[in-house]
Amino acid sequence: MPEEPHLYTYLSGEEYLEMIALLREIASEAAAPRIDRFLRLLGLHSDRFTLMSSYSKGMRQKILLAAALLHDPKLLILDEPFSGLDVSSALILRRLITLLAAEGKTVLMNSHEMETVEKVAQRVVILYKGKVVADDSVEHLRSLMSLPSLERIFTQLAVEKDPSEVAAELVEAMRA
Amino acid sequence: MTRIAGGTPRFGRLARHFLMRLADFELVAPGGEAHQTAVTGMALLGALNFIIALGLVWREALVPPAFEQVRTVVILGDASFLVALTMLFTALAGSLAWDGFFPNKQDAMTLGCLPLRPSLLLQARVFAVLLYLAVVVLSTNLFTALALPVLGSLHNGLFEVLRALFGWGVAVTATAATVFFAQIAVQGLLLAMLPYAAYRRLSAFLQLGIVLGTFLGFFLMPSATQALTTPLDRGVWIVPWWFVGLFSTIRGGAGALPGIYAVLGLAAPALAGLGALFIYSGQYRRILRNVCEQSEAGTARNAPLRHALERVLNLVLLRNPRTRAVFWFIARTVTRNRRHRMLLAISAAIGIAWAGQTLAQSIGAGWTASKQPGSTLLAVPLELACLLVIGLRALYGMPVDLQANWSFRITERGGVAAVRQAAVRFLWTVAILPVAWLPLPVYWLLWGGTRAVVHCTFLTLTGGALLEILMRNFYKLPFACSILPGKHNLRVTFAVYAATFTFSCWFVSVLEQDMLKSASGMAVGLALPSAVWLAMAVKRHMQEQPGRIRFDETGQPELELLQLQG
Repeated sequence: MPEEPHLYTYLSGEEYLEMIALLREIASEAAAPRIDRFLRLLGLHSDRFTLMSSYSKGMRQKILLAAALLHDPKLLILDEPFSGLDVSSALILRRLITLLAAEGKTVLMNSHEMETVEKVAQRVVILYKGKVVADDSVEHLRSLMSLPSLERIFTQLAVEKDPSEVAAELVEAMRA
Repeated sequence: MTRIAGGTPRFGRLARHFLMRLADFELVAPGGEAHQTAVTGMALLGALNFIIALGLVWREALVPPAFEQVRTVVILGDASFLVALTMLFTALAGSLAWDGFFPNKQDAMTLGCLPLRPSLLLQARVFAVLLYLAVVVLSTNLFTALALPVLGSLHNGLFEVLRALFGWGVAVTATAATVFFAQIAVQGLLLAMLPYAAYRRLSAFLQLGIVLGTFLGFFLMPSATQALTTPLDRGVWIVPWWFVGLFSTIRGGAGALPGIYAVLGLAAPALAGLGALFIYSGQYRRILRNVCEQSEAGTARNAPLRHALERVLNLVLLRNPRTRAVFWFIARTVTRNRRHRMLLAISAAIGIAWAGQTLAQSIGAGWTASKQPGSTLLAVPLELACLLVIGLRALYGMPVDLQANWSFRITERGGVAAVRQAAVRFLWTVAILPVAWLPLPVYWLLWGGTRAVVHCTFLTLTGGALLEILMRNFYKLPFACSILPGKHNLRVTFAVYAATFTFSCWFVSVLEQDMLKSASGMAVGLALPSAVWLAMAVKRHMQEQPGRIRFDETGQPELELLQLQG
């Protein structure tokens, strides 16, 4: 699931999912009810015939998620999956990732939302300037660095300037 | 002129932006570069106009100076053809620029937040529209605007030449202005009156209707030489005659058309212009509000008939799921993407209009009197099928939403075979089989069962051979390749394709006419395209290396390690 929801916007959500199902060689008989169920659960059923050109970013993100789950993959790669999602959909996705992981599937997720990562991830890799600066479970990192949250750990490892200082400078620059 | 802080004129920038919205630059020149687009577009239209001007000069040389009446008839005929051509190109230019005449949601959202006066936006848009019209009119009349009036009045002195030049300039401008402003007025009126979603649906049909209507009009319009003998109450309904009449009246001399045509020729652009002006000045804000506030959501709800057809095709032709996915992807792209739909409509409209003209000629020649099929009539379905297949094949190469083709990249398995199969089957389904077999009952009535079936089979086999030629080395997913048509040298290839197409259709239909005369001829007639088709298919199978789908010109990307070790 890519970060940017680049889709063929002249297709409807349902048509796009049908196309992906066929490309993944899922039989139509199996794909149709699965697509219908996905659309209902993601709150897109009433818009299933609407062309995706008029979908919001969040709706497109949901279509991407459905397309990624359609063939019941063992490995799921999610690039910024929460971007553009409304609060309830983001909560659903958070639970979904946990459930899939509990089922034994591998979920590789890339995100800038530390709070979400902290709640969902079993193992965290922090990259800074192309190098891995941390690779461990959240709990172990917390105890190792004696810091209360992943956000503080990230700030310590990968942020050169204090974010509060930068924010204050920005406000100053606005007024100048 | 209004200037922004950096000193760049706002008006100029806005006008350029709106001009780019009118012309599909990527289609004509590589990278969509504005200067290249203007040069290539004008060169294409100008070259065509130059060839026509040469024809006028050649024809003039054939008419001796003493034959003034013959000259008048010849000039009326030529003027009639050129007026129809100007109408055709202006209507096409208007249809291609359809979405750029009025603001869309994107304009409202991006330009609306900038500190720009609405009147400045309106002025810049009107300027861009007028500039676009001027470029189209100039390119399509560059050489003939001199050749026709000068050649026609050369023997009558300088004053008459100048008068004819002025008359022709007025007539051509009036022609283009009528067609162009009428399109804008109608479009603006619909946009102001209808809900935005309904307008979008209707405007697509209207656009296609204009394209088809102009081509039919161009091929079927009677020449203005007939205006001399046609009663006025019938003649006044033939629009191109108004402008020929305007030219003829200003030019004066013997054989001028009745003055009523000139009056209509002046009234039409005035009315169309006023209509467009009223829409722009009076309804612009209302249109802007409609665009901003209303949803433009299109729907893809399956009509029962379409759904049934889809099911039949899925069962009969598209059993492989990947072939099915690509087939319906092609169908939806061609019918829903505005640019592709327009280009296909142009291709089909040329075919239909050409076929209509041939049919009209055949009817004029009394085709029902003989049971023997003539080459003119035999060529009709061939021309139509060829134009449809060539048009669709050209569309396959034009990219759509390239960034979205990752969907195909990550699901690729089993190589290119299924994709190629879908692309070929689509051409069979929409172009060759319906054109070849749907008119079977008509052929049956005209020529009897055997000849009718042989003719349809011949068309099918010829279509198969044509497909093999056109789909040679096609290992791509349609519309997903970044090979833009602008990269081809259109100025050269267009002329080559047009000449090859015209000659081939004529040659094959003459050949078929001879073959349909006897049983042995029919056998040879069917064997010949079968042999060509078979030979090409065998050659393809021997050369073919199924491999992966080719997505663009850059080849397969190299694998690069990220070196993420700490």
